[in-house]
Amino acid sequence: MVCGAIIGLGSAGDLFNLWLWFEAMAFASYPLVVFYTHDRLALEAGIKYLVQSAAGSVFILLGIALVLLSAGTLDVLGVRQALAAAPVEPVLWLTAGALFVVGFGVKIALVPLHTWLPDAHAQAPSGISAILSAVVIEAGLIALLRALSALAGAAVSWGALLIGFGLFNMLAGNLLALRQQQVKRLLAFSSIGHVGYMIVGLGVALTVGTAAGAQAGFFHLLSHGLMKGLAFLAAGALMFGLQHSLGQAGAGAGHQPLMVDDLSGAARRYPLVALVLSLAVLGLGGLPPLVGFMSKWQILVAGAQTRDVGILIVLIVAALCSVLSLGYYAPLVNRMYRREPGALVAKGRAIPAAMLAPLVVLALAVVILGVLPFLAGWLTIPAAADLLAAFAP
Amino acid sequence: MTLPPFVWLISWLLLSAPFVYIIGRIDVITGRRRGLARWLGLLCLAVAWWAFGRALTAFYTAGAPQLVTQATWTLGVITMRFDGLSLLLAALVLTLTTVILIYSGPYIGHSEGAKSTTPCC
Repeated sequence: MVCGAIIGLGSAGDLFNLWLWFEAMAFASYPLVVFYTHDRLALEAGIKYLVQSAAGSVFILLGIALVLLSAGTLDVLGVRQALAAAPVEPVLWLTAGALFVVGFGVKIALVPLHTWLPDAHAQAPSGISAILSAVVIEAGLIALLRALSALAGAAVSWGALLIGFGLFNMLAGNLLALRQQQVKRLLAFSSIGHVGYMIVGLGVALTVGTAAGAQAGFFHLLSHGLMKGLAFLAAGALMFGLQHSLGQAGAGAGHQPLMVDDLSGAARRYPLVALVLSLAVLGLGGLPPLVGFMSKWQILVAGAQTRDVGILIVLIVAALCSVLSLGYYAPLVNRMYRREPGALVAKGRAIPAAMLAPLVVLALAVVILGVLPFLAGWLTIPAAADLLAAFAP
Repeated sequence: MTLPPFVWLISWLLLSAPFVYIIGRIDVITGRRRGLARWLGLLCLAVAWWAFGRALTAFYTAGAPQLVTQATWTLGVITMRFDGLSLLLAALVLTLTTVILIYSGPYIGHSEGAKSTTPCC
């Protein structure tokens, strides 16, 4: 159902239907966040997710009302035509745009609207965490772009706004992730940072009107989806082997979080899972030849080509954040490969092949798209072209 | 009325989800662990991939010269457009959902949450 709602969201042609699909996605994903109904923390995370989503939804509705009031239509193309035919007060469009940014920003986890995300991602089952992190955030971003494209004729640089939020997300996401000891919370905070890279790339594209930035932003969206999906699934496989199989997730106890220290020596007991988790986190950290390096590199190149001083400063921060991220990704790999197996790992049970096969598929995608990034062109080139067409003056 | 492939794709996913859910619930309530919901979910996704393939073919057939195309479907006030952004999102969500559904069988099956909720796409 989440899957259908997200594809519907991506195809919505008017603002009200965009909101309906957005709500359908939130409605369908809420029960998944509170999957562990016996766990107090999962329920708390679910409530936080629900309340913040609902608040964001109200902001979106207010924005839609403002657009309807001034344009008389909610069709994305119709709004733009109405704006061109009879220009209205820029402050009205700016307000509507700000409401969209805040409303959709909750789902995208724009800083400081991100507080639901670490709890929800950490408390949900790993498969659900992968969907939330790798798809739901990205769907929110596409929804925001669709909504802002209706207001593209306004004398406001939405690209600059996105770059500003991107800067905050990169800094906050990476700095907060450094302090995390729970693997899934660490990955959740890193998602906040990666949203920053995406919207910096897309913001560059909207600011200067070049396809390179948009393609890079969408390529990072795709690569983050694959890498973060792989990371959450690999972490989940380790949780399965170390905890679920040992019966520690009994009724009333809730599911136990996987701590970074729990991974000590995991490579000896679970070599394949350790390898794919390492590929995922090193890719997220931007190490070549993995797909995360290539997508970040494309964003940096697209930004550098603008020769804009402000954008160049943002790019320097982005590069530094990427280096900083290795400060929390590298210890994961280090613990798995360089430590003696702990008691938990020594007692760990085998992980079924049905769980390992998807990990191998995603790991291959992470490596192959890193070496041959043009293979994603059939997705990123049309998306970039349509984004620029939607925001064209 | 002829529906574009992407509308079939969305409709199929939305309409099939409740059936998968109900089958899963029946399995949980009756205490049988046949994994029927999982197989049904995979079947639904296989059909969804077929619909996606048709949407993709229509997208590239129509838009090959300029790579910017939109399949538009309107019903009353509902307007749906399948463009490059939709394509990217659809490909990503279908890929990850398929992978996660295969992965989740043993993972979810052993968890406490499965007693109160049912795995479904």
